[in-house]
Amino acid sequence: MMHRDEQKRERGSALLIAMIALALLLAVGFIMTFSTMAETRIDGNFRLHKQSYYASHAGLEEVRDRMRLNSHTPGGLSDLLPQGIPGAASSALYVINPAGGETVNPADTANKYFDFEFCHEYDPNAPIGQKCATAPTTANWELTTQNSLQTPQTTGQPLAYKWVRINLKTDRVAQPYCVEGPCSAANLDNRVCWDGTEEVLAPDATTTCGALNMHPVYMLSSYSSSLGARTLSRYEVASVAIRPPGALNLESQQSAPSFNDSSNGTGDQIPFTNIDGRPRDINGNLLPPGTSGCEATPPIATDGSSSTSSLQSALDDLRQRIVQRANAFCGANGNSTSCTPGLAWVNSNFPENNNSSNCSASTPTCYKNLNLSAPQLDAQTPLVGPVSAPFIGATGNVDSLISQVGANTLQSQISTINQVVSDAAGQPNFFTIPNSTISSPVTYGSVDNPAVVVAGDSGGLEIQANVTGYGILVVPNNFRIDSATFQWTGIVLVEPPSGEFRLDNGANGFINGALVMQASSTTNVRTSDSDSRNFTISYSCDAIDLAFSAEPLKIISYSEIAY
Amino acid sequence: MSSQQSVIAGTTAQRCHVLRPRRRSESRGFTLMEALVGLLILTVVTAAIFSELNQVQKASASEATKLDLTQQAREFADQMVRDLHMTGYPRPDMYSPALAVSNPLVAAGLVKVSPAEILLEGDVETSGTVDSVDIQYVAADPNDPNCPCIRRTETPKVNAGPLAQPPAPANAISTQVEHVMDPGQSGEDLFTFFDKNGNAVNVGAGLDMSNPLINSIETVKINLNLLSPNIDPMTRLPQRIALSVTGHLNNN
Repeated sequence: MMHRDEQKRERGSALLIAMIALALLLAVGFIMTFSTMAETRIDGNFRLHKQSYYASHAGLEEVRDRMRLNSHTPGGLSDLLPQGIPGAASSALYVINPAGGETVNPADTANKYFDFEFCHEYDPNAPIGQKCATAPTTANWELTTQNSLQTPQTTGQPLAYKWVRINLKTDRVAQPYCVEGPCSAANLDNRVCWDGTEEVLAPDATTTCGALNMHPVYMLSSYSSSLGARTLSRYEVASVAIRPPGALNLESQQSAPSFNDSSNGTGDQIPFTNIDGRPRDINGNLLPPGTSGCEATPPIATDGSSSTSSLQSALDDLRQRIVQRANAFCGANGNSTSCTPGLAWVNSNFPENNNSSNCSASTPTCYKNLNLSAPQLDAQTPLVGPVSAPFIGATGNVDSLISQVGANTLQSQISTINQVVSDAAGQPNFFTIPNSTISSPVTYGSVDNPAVVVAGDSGGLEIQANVTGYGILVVPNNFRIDSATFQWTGIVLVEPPSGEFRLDNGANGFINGALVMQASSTTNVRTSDSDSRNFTISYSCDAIDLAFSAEPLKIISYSEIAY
Repeated sequence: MSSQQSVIAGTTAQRCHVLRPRRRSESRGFTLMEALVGLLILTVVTAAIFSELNQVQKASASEATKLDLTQQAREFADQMVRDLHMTGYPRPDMYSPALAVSNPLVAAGLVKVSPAEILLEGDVETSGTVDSVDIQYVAADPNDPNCPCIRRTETPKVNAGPLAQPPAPANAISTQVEHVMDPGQSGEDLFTFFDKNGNAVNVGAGLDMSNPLINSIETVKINLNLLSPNIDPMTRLPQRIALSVTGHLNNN
């Protein structure tokens, strides 16, 4: 028995050693496997986090891009954007991007992808730093959900965000970084607007940004989920489309603009040109107040006191010449072959000067009260459309016709125009006019595809044939319209050094949007000339937005939210 | 051939016959020689096993250190990228009338940059408080054997210029990454800077927000080179971990 025991022990010790060695090797193997797996998991988490971040970014960028496009363009969102403040009716628009077979409904509290952040945008009792458990109770708070344009929406698709919410920014949304600095409870539901350079708080909860001729600031919140890695990132965005302060905008004018036409006898005719600051749609139709994205402006705007004074002098000069002409051409009873209805009205409204040609600068009251916005001054024959005075629009802040804005306002807006032109260079919608004249009819752009057109001759551009265009037209030096019809929907920028805009004999048409005259020492605005025909410079923020529709919205800020 | 076969067969038969009594004697125990040989073989085998085990344990320990360093580097990179994303938020143009850049409600963005340091301002925790965050390479610290290292301080902004923020209290200083290679040794700067077109922005020895060049920086690349105190059993050299990440300044 002893021998057998010894034999067993001998055999057992070998087995024991082998098992101990094996156990040690297994233990070390496990440790190494664990280490390797841990490292793999770290790398995996890092990758998922990055994937989630970029997926969220993809959602922000897709929606930002689509917001610049109107409903004419597939996928365009600009006509669908929320108008109500968060929590109110029509206050949130979702763009969803479900993977194949899944349901993404951020408005449904039971859905896997419920929007757990929105309550913080409207509910003063929302738990700070915690996810929302409820959706708004207001009827129709959510606009019709839109789908992502990413296709196909399949499981595992890279950069698959789940939803993007669009809502207006208010001071409550901005908390604790309220626009006025330290937050005021009275302002929390006021809209936040973008004036082109900074955010501005609307004066009360009912005033829209359009009423201030500014753009609303939208919050884009994009949620992505990638195997547990979640990202909720946000943009604050606003349109870059400028809001010129007038239909005709004079930047830092040093010389008096001229509205002269003294070639047809004593004094000036009533101008055949209308400068109209009332908002119109892109077809030139007048829009009732509150129905456009902006409000009426004064017909003419300047950005400096010297410019304003020279403009006032020019308008007074025009008034004086019109009165002189009325006195010279109309008899006391208005009977004269050269006495137009407008001149007869002028004549009858200044009875102290009837049949007198003494209305001069020494007796300014005889002409200074002439209201150039009076509908009786409509000189167009026959009467065309609703335009009814040479200068008409909202009351300005200098006198009834002129708005004087801050020193850098127009300069900044011109920079924005130049930026759009620069961005468009080389794109299919970019055109250069090689010659100093256009002598054959031509059309640039369309409502769906606005153009950026630059006159290539440094001497300027002369229109000798009919031109129709949509978008932005930039002309250096002199812009002259001869006997032709020029119809432009959007922005026309006339650059230095001469900076003259001139309507010659037989010029017809319109600029629907805004005309911007850049600073120079010799700028001259001639809006009437002998035998000029009907020409209207009208204000349309819809047309201006059209001109800027190639530009994506400006990203004012980026932030991330973590709960 | 047949005679040879018979000889072999006979020899085999004899051996079988002779072996039987030896088996019986073995069962009674080992000879000294056998025991010594067995012990020798066991020693050699055990030595080989333990030698391998030692190597494996060293490798394991080395991997664990490498893992720790990699994790440190990843965490720092994550933190740094988050900091950069929120740099400059909230921006000055989010206020009207404009607030001074010294106001605690405004984040100045990048305040100071150099190849070895970034000072920035932003609501990096999305907590509603603008912080002044300083991330810098520390070549040596007599009180910290883990340096060269990268340290980060995060302190709420006070009403003062971004360059005049008070120094962080000691408890706000944290060492984020240890065993960082000296940039001169690694051959690349800890931080490199790029503009919106991807061109490198040469910050020289460093610049601050008084230099408009700082505003052209859109992207920061973080080049982490760590040198483990452990020796790699395979290469017999200190382990080196290299990690590069880029962070975009979304608010610049």
